[in-house]
Amino acid sequence: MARKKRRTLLKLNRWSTLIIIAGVSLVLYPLLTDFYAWYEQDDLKEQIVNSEDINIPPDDTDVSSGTAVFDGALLEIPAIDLSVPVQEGTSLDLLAISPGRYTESALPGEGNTAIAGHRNMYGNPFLHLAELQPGDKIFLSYDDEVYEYEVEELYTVENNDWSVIEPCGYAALTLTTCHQDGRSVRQIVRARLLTDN
Amino acid sequence: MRKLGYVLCLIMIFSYMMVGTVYADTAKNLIEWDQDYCESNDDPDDNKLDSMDPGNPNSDGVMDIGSLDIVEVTAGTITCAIDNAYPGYQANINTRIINVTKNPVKITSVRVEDKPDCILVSLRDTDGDELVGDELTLSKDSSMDVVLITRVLQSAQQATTYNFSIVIEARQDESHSSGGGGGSSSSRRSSDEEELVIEPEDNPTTDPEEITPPEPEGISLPIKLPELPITGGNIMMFIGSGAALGGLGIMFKRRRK
Repeated sequence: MARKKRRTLLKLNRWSTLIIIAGVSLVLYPLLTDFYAWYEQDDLKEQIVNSEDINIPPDDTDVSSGTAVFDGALLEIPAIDLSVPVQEGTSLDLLAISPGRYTESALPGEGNTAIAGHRNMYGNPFLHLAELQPGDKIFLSYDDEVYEYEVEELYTVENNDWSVIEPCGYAALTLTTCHQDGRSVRQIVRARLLTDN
Repeated sequence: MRKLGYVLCLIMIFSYMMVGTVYADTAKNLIEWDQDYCESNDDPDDNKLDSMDPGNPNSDGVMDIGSLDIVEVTAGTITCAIDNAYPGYQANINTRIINVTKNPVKITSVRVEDKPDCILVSLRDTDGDELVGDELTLSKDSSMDVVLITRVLQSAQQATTYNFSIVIEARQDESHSSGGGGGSSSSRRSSDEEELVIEPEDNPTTDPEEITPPEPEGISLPIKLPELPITGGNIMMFIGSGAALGGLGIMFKRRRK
C-alpha cells in the first residue's frame, strides 16, 4: 500500500514538474518572440544598409524598370524612436520578424504604400503607433532614396476594411497594426509624402 | 490519481488551444464559389431526360439514366457526383465565382481533385470560353457566372458513382498593384485564341460549343472579406495560461510534501 502511494506521489511529482515547465514556457514565449524579432531585424537592417551602399550604375538596356521589385526598406519614425526594416509581404511568418509591405500596395513614392506591423509581441515595432500626432515625420529609405512623410491622420477601421491600402489620390504611406480594443479593429496611420531626396 | 491526471491533461490541452486561437489564421480564399447559386442542370430529382450523343449505342431517343449531383459546396470547393452515367453523358453545373477581396485577383488554375480518367471537366464562362489559368482577372468585389461542364467517356463503368471536387486557385493580381491596388475590369482571353475543346472518345458527339449556358442572373450578394493581417498577439492569454499552469504545478508539488 505504502509502495503504491509512493509511486503515485512520484507520478504526481513528474506531472507537476512538467506543468510548471509548460507554464513558465508560456509566460516567457512573448518575450522570446521579441528577442527573436530584434535579432532578425538587426540582420535585415544590415542587409538593407549594405545593399544601399552598393551603387550599381543604371543599365541603359534595361527596359524592365516598370516591374520594380521591392527588396526591403528602412522605416524610421523619430517621434516614437522607431527604426525597423520593412520586408515584402504581410504573411504571419514575415510579420513575426519585422513589418511588411502589402504586396497589393504601391512602391514608395508611386502611390499609397501600405505597411503592416505587430503592435505587441514579435518585437512590437508598432507598439506606439497610436501615439503619433498629425505633423510627425516618417522616413522611409528605399532604393537609395529617403522618402519623407508627414502624419496626416490616425483612425481605426474594421479588420476587413482593405480600402486603407487603396490609392488615395496622392503619394502616401499607410501603416496598419492591431488595436488595443481587440482583433475586430485595426489602427491606421496615414501620412502624406513631402519630398523625396 | 488517474482521474487527476486526466483533468490535468485536459487543462493543458485547453490552455494550448486557447493560445492557439490567438494565432489561428486560416488560409483565406481569394476566390470563392457562390454557395447560394450552384445548381446542376440534371440533378437526380428533376426527372429531366438526358441529352444523348447521336450514334450512342445507348441512345433510343432520350432516357433519364445518369445524374450530376452537387454533393457539397463550400467557399473553396465544389464536390460533385456523377451517378450511373453512360458514355457521352454530359451535364452542367451553373454557378458563380466571387472575388472576396478588395483587390483584383487573377485565377491561376482550376484544379480537379479525385477525378477519374473517364470524366472530363471544364470550367467555362457564359460565352463558352474556357477559363484558363493566368488569363482571367476578376476586379475587386466582382463576381462572374460560370458553367462547369462534365462529360463521361467510354471507359466509364456501368452503375457507378464517380465523385470529384473542383477547386479554383488564385492570387492577387500584381499587375494591377503598381498604382496602389486599383480595380480593373474582368479580362478574358480573346476569342481568336486557340480553343481548348473537350474531345469525346470514339463517338463524334456533342460539340461543347453547342452548349448554351443560361443567362446570368443579376443577384447581388453579401461579400465577406478576409481580415487585414493579424498584427497583435494576446500577451495576457500567454501569461494567464502560463501562470495558471505554473500555479497548478506548484500546488501539486506542495500537496506532495
